[in-house]
This record gives sequence, C-alpha cells and structure tokens, in this order.
Amino acid sequence: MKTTFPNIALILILLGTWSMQLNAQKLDKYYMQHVQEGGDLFFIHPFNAYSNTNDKSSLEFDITYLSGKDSATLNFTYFAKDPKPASIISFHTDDYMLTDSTTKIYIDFNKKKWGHRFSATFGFNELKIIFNHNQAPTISIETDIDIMSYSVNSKKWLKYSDAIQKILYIIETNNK
Amino acid sequence: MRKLFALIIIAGFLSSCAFVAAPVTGFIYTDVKAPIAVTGNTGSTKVGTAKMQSILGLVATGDASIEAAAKSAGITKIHHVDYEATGILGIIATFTTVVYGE
Repeated sequence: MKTTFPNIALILILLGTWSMQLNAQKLDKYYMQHVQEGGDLFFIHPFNAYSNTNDKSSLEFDITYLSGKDSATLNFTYFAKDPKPASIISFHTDDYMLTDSTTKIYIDFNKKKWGHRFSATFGFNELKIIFNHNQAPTISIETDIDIMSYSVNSKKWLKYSDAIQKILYIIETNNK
Repeated sequence: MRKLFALIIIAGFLSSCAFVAAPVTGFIYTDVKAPIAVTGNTGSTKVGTAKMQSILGLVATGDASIEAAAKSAGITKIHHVDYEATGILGIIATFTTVVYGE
C-alpha cells in the first residue's frame, strides 16, 4: 500500500510518454487537407520555434497551398516593442536565399507589444529547396527602421523540415 | 499520513486537470477534429487558425474565436469552421479553431 502513489505516478508518466511518442509520429498534426471543387487546399500549421537573436521575441509562420498552383502563401506573425511593418521577408542559408515583398494582414497592440501579421508568396519549388536544405535557415524581416533576424534551434528545424518534406512530397505527387 | 498526502495530491491532480471540450475525450490522450459551422459561401483559398491553451487546468489563455482565426488569414467570407482539440493526461490541453474561406 505504501507504494501506491509512486506506482500511479510511474504509470501516468509512462502513459504520457507513450502518448507523446504517438503524437510525434503523426504527420497530420503538421497539416490539414481540405478537398474541394477547384483544387485541394493544404494548410501547414504554424511553426513557432523561431526567435529574434537580440530581443528573444518570437516569429511564427504557416503555409497555405491550393493544388495546381505554382506558388504557396506564407503568413507570418512577429512582435516588437514599436510598430515595425515588414516590407521584405527572406529565408537565408549559407548558399541559398529566398526573398519576397510582403502584404499586411493586420497590425495590432496587445500586452505591451505590437503584433504584426503579414503575408508573402513563394514558389512551391523554392519552398521545397528551403525545406530540403540540411541547414536551418535564418529569417530576416526588413522594415523601414531596421532588419530583424530570427533563428531556430537546429534539432527543432530538422524534425519540422523532415515532416514538411513529406507533406510537400504528398502535395506534389497528388498534383500530377 | 503518507497515504492521506498521496490521496490529496491525486485528488488535487484529478480535480484540476486540463481537459479540453470535445465530443469525445480521452483521460490519457485526446487528439480529435470536429466541425463547428458551415456557411453557404463557396470555395476556400485561405485558412486561418486561433488557439487557446490550458495548463493543469490552473491557467488558461488564448483567443480561439472564429473572428481571431479569420483575421489571422485575412478571411472575409467564411466557408466552414472546424476545430482541433488535443490533451495529454490533463497536463496540457489545446483547442484550435480553424476557419476556411476567402
């Protein structure tokens, strides 16, 4: 009877670990597919592991793709102490750069921070290069005031990009 | 005394767990998707999400309203709305509203 509590705790920890492993293997936690007339709509869930190297603020992005199109929409959110509308977003690796001008979705102020939600459009094949690259890209946001740089933990990027590579393969294969 | 302490901890754990609203829930693990609404608008080219989260049933934050999800993708005509609910052992629970439209 004395060991009841440690046993229950152990069972709960084991079940928790098992359920997290179950979750980690599922590709559908990364994306959704909506079948509709005029082309399937794919949505890759927000990825929020990027952070600013200076002020530790975060950046997250999601990707929407309509089958049959050559390009995909990347919507992204970042926070700053002052309003800093983005004009250009870039993904950098040592040997590749992907850049596009941005379109504002909204800017708001909440909890002492300015929230910026913007959109950019990238070629499907260009995005494939970024996600197939073995180096975690840095994201740069160019504003009228300065350039903000965001980086990601390599392990988190590898796990994420591995899933996205598979999703892009699914999209490409079903497009043919 | 130790038994009593263990019972209090377990009772406290069970009574303040983070469970998420869904048509079906699992005590150990929940990962479900379900519909919220459908409109008469046709076709979707955009998807927006909004999320709220609870930790141990003690702290819950976020805005998972349809308005917040639609705003995140600049959606002005909603086609349909789904939601996703996930939870692990009552420790962490997440509810995400997903809006499709244009």
